[in-house]
Amino acid sequence: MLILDRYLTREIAKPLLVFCGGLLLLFANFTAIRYLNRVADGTMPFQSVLPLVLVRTAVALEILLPIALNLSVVVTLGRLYTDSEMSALFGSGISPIRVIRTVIAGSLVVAGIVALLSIYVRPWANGNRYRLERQAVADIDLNDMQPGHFYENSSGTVLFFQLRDQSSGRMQKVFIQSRSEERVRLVWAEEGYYPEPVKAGMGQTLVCSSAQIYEIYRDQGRVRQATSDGLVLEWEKAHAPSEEYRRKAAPTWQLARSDSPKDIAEFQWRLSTPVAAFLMGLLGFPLSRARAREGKYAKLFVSVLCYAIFYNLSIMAKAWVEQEVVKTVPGIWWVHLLLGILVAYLLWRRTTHP
Amino acid sequence: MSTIDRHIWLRVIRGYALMMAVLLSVFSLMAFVSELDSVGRGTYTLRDAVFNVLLTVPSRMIELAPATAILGSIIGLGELASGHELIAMLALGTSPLRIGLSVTVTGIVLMIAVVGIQEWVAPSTDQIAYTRRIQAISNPEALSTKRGFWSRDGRQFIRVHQVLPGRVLSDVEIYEFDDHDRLRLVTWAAQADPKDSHQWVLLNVVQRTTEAKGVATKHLASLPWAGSLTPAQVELLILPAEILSRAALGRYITFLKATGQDVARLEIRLWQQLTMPLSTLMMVLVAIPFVLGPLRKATAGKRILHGSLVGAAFHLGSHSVAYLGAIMHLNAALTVLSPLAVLGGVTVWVYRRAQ
Repeated sequence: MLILDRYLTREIAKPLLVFCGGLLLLFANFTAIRYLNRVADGTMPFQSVLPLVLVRTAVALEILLPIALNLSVVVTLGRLYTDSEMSALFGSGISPIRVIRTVIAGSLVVAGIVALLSIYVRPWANGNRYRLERQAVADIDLNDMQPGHFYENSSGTVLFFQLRDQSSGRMQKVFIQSRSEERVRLVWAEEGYYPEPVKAGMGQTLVCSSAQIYEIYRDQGRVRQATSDGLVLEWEKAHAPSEEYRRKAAPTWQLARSDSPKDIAEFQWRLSTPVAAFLMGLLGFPLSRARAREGKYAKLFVSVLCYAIFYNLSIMAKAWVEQEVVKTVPGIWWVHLLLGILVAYLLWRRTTHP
Repeated sequence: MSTIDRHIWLRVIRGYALMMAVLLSVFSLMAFVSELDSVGRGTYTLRDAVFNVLLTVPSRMIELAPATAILGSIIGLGELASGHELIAMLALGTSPLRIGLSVTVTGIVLMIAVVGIQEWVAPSTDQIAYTRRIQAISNPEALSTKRGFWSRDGRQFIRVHQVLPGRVLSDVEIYEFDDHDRLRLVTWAAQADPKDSHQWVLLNVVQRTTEAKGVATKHLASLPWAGSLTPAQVELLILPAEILSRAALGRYITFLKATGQDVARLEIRLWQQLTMPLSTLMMVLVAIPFVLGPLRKATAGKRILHGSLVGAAFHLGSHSVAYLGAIMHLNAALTVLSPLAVLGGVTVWVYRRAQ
């Protein structure tokens, strides 16, 4: 590798790490805050937050990396233009094709990383995300619940309690309602607590002391009444997390053999992300051209606009294939073809009019 | 307004616009990707998903405002620094404080824009987006929450199966306990129509009173019902607190407090909304020493990295403190203002170091 190639590669790689790191940091931050809100609501255990943020960030990388690459190419080459380094390069006999070759090499490396992310990491991370989300719902601990809120378990039983005793952690003034077709069951208890520590995926039992129990029959006008000093209620049944089919978590080889348009759309998406990353990197070269006083951020607006239009179109194209509005051929590829033509045209113009 | 001020303002505002465009497009795209998971559920279409993402752009702008403030200021001032314009300004006798003040003025403009969007634009667009989404996904004719809809009014527990258009409640159950915690009255009504903004008329009512001698059942065609749950409050209750305006959130908190329900998280949410413009302005102030201080020779990449780190650390830190405050029922104002005070202290320390 010659000095020039090394210089260009290093100059593009530095902002790439910064942009990608910054975007990932912000994304992880917003995702963490959304999950923390759920923790504060008592609908998710705290320990689920970090693993969920990590797997969601891993999935986001396949979309964040291409824009980070595009911005880095635009900013770096834009700076070379504004600092007249590009003029010096062209003046000393270096052709624009030489610079493009370095951008192509860098874009290919990033495209390779995106391919790995999309083909292997995406299904793995999505699989983990679904598992963690299911587990988080199953593991909501009654101790995480906040007084003054209504909670509902998976079988539709509703619980409300007024206070929590600070020393024992027990719920006080507990209202519980469950229903079946013909009757409604109400429990009003002075206190409610867990008899033993909760284990992930295991059933949860709630003990109510000084409880009044009412069974109200809808049609018969009857209300049965009882009292109990140690009423044991099954709050959540033990259940193995269900293994429902989710195509975003399906292995790529499995999608490749499927005839379902939804699977094909997902398969094409996974194959298309490295192509998109490569094209976004290349698009950076023509967009980076700036006049001396223009500033290296001058073309970022255009860059971001191109990115937004392209990715939104890609996502819509994927949805159209899923809904069979567009056949699996051309599938989602027409968007990439359009971008490819645009990039080829802009590169041809730059090389013929440097 | 001097030419220098105008020049600084234009550069910094351009920095904000640039960063907002970058962050907004990336995060809107992420929102679009996650909206696609709902396409096909009920009558929710791709077009609805696009509209939903567009309608939530104002609230996303508010969410991104602090990050935009710090990164936009760094980019705007960074351009002036790398073009040696800041040096020229200092050489002409413009003090760093004057430059700082000029940047602060743009921060105030951004702050005013945030307040405007937060108060007048985002709540209504968010509510339209939320209502459209729920209506499309659950039932085109009715608006319902996942859990039905529960509320509490003193010793009454109220369950509403669905809220229909026009604030009509369908399938209403009211359980009332007496002072000795015994169930006194059970009221079931097929429907509740709003009589005025304070009262309901329950229709097709079955009422059971539990007494010592047994249960007395009454069937009534209609029954007036007034409680602290008024027709005007129903819309507040069915909307998530995240999308309420400050005024609506304040009314909601008053109602929940009056009915003995927990408001800790909502009070913190209200204080976060109230202090959002201030935290945006603080982010602008924090950004200034990154450019004027020892980092002035740093590259744009380093500045952005430092800015992102400070912005993200503050954002996550302040939300974590808020989350802890909600759980531990700490004073909402103190919980929200303390990270801002820490940020203020850090800014003053960095300024002193820079000088």
